[in-house]
Amino acid sequence: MRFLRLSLLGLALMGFVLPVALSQAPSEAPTGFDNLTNGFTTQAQFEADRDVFEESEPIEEGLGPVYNAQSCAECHQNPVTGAISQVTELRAGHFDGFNFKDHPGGSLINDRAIDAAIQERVLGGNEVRTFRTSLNTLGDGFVECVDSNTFVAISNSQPPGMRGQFIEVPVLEAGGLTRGGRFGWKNQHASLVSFSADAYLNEMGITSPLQPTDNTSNGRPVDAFDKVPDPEDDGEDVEVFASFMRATKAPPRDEELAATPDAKAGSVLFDQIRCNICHVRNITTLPAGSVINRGAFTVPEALGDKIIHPFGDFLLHNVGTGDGIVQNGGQSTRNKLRTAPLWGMRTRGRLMHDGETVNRNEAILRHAGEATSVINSYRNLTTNQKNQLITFLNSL
Amino acid sequence: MRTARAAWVLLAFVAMAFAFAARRGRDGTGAAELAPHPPAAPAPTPPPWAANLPPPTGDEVEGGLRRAFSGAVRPAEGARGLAGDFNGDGAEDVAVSVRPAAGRLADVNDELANWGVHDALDERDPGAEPPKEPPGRVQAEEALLAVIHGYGPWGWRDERARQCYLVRHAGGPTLEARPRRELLRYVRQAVDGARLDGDMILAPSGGKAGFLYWTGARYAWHPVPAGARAASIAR
Repeated sequence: MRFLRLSLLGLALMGFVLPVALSQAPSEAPTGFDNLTNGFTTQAQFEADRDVFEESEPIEEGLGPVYNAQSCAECHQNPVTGAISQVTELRAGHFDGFNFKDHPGGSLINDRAIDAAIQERVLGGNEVRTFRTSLNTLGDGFVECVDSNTFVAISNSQPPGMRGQFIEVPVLEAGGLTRGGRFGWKNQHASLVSFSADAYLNEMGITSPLQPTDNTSNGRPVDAFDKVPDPEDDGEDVEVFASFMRATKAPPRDEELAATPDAKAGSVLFDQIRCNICHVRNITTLPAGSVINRGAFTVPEALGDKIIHPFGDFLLHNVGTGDGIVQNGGQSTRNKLRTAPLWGMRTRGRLMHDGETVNRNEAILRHAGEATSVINSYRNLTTNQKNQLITFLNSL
Repeated sequence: MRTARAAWVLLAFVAMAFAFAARRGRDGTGAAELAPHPPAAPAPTPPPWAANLPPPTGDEVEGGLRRAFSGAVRPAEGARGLAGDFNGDGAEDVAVSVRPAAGRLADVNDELANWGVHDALDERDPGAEPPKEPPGRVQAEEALLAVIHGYGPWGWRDERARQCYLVRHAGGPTLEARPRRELLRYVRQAVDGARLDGDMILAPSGGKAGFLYWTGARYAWHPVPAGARAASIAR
């Protein structure tokens, strides 16, 4: 009888602990280049949001006066909407020996205008010039749901000479309260709504309540060319873009290639030579129900407690490729860039922030500065080992 | 009987626990993300390069070439090392005219070599289609410019300084290092998209006066603009 009671007690304890433990156990985030929702929205809603993301905006809807593209999907499309493309943007400014100063009208030099009279170009005296490739947004809903303190912890775990810089940036929809930056080459945004409003204005020239003022043309007003009253979007499009990105699956591995002996050996080498210090393999999102973006968003079940494999630390580093531009992080970030997340890397032919490098070996060798010891370890690999490592990269 | 009742009660508790667990995360009443803890200091930006480093000696340059290029190139006859911060990272770099070492041409051209091979005359626009072929293959006895990027206060002399490039159509006996401020006077708007952070190397090519500079990704050659007199601008 006593044995039976003890058994029942044990069962009861298990009954209490197991469900809670199971509910807390993080699970793998869904991945795929398949145009399917990750569960954040219904498939029908996802497709409706994607349509807006792909929609080409005409001048009558507020496009320009200066802009880079007519739709989000122009730059975020390969191999599916929301991913990357070969499209770059141009930034410029001046370094006076101590500080970076924006180009007149801001560091972004828009490549297009609705009137030839307001075409932007790099003005003399702005010798800091760089191209920046379009970034992948697939899986960014999961990235948004990562605790800022996770990035702080990653930084603190890195060797002092390689420790990434964590910056806090304004969350526009939370009145400018700050949160750990994670989006953009300079980590200039912390939320997908802020990112969407920024891109709508800076890439397409469309104002919204969060970004209500049009850009100038090299510092000259463009009001005479803008026939649409501001804000040109009432905020709905910005919310839809964010909803679309939040519902995207993370970029998947090429499972067939990843299963080959060479890719497996390359994966081991990747860790052995310590690429994984910055190209971090595993990050877990906050539990569902957590309130993020300074109160503006609650982590939904579809995005909470999910393990992602971005192969990035979402921190700023100087690896000798810095573009010399300062955005939200202050002058100390002038030559720093966010570690490029390597997920989906196999879809990219032009590498590094400027797209100037077109093969994997050269991209690796372009790393210097904080990455010097890691890259010197790469240099010490045999040709066969280098090929294995590159095979692994091509499986991402 | 009592045991059976107890079992039913426990079963009910277990069911309630599962229901509670299943509800977790759906009610949107979770904790707010905490303010970030103060992070440890990030990696220091590279220290300023030591301004009083002595000029490179022939032995030092040969040593640097051996370390960076594993003996695949040798200094060209009469070549001397030019020091400067060519990539603008604050550490002293060195450039020297070289030729492929005997029997090492295949290593020089190896696509997985520890150096990049650039053609100074390849003015590829980053927005253009990427080249289908690598930027030419180095020929035996071809004159090249070898550049070793520095690391830290000791620059290219540091044992860890192994980032290096071989630049085609840039080797020659009349190279001169010049400071960044001179580069800025030359280029103005002429070099679109390039980062102009580093010192430059005056290097004639095909009988034209010009200079080599680091674009942020590679070494490129640019003619001295018409009307600019290199000698006067150089001073």
